[in-house]
Amino acid sequence: MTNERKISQAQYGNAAALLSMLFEFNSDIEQQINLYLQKYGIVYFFEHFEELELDYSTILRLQAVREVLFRLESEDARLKGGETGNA
Amino acid sequence: MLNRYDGGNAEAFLKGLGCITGIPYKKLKSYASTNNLFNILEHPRTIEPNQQQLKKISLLNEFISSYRLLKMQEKENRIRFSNSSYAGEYFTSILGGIKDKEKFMVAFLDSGNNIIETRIISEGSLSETVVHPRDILKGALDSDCRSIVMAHNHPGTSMKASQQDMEITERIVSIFKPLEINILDHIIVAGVSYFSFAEHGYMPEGSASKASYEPIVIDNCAKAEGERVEVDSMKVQKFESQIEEEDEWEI
Repeated sequence: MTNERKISQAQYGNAAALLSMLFEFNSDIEQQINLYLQKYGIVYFFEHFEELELDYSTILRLQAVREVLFRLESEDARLKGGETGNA
Repeated sequence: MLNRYDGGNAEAFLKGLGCITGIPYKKLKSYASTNNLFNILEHPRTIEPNQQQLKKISLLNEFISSYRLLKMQEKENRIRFSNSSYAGEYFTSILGGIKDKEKFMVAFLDSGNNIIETRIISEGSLSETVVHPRDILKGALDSDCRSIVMAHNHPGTSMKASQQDMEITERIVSIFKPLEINILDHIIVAGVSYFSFAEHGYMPEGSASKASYEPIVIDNCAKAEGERVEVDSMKVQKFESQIEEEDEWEI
């Protein structure tokens, strides 16, 4: 059994589909986001989507998602940093 | 109080949330001025959204879980449970944001402790969920796994293991022992923290008499009533054979 497990394309597809449902993107935009996620990964994508070929309204919506994601991450980091001896 | 509206950072968060969900910014800001910001995601009904807004919050929560999991996977390009800490972080990323229901999950691992598949075994209400051992057995046979890590969340954010948590662990260990499938750990996720049975030497050895296949109800109310487990009173043995000196699981 191989030890190397690549991230399933279906997982990126699911992430793109969820974004599409959130903003009611058409299938072309969903497919474009899916391709970018698979090519660059989700971390790079959310750090650099302004540099990719996405229309302005899509970028604005992704920026909204990024604000939420990054704020949650900093909150998680704050909570973990404030804890002693995580069980 | 922490996480109330605190200017710049919160404003960007609330504007983002407004754009995604359609809830007016003024309403979000007003709510956040007297409440925890993150309640909007964790307990969305508290802001009294309409059905459409509630659906969007649910989708957003689902996306956040997906993002966290993919981010973790990208970090190492594969998920290997080399120790309980990694398993704890993995399940925290999936279950940490769920505050409105109990979810019971299982990761099926190969001989190198790499994840073959992770399955949701049951989803319940805020206070309880029912676990059918046969569903875990089916997943184990489907994936041809060598070991298993179980996890469930405590929506009430208590990290203490209840008597029921102990009992389900012992029953599952007892069921899988004859099949030579190791139950490496049982992780309880409470918010951004977790409790690992293996880390605390709570993993039981299992016995044939405990190998019942009857459904198991995990009742969160029982936990709330203070039905706690004391280490000294538990009939468990340390899982030393599974934890090497450097806390790595034996492969």
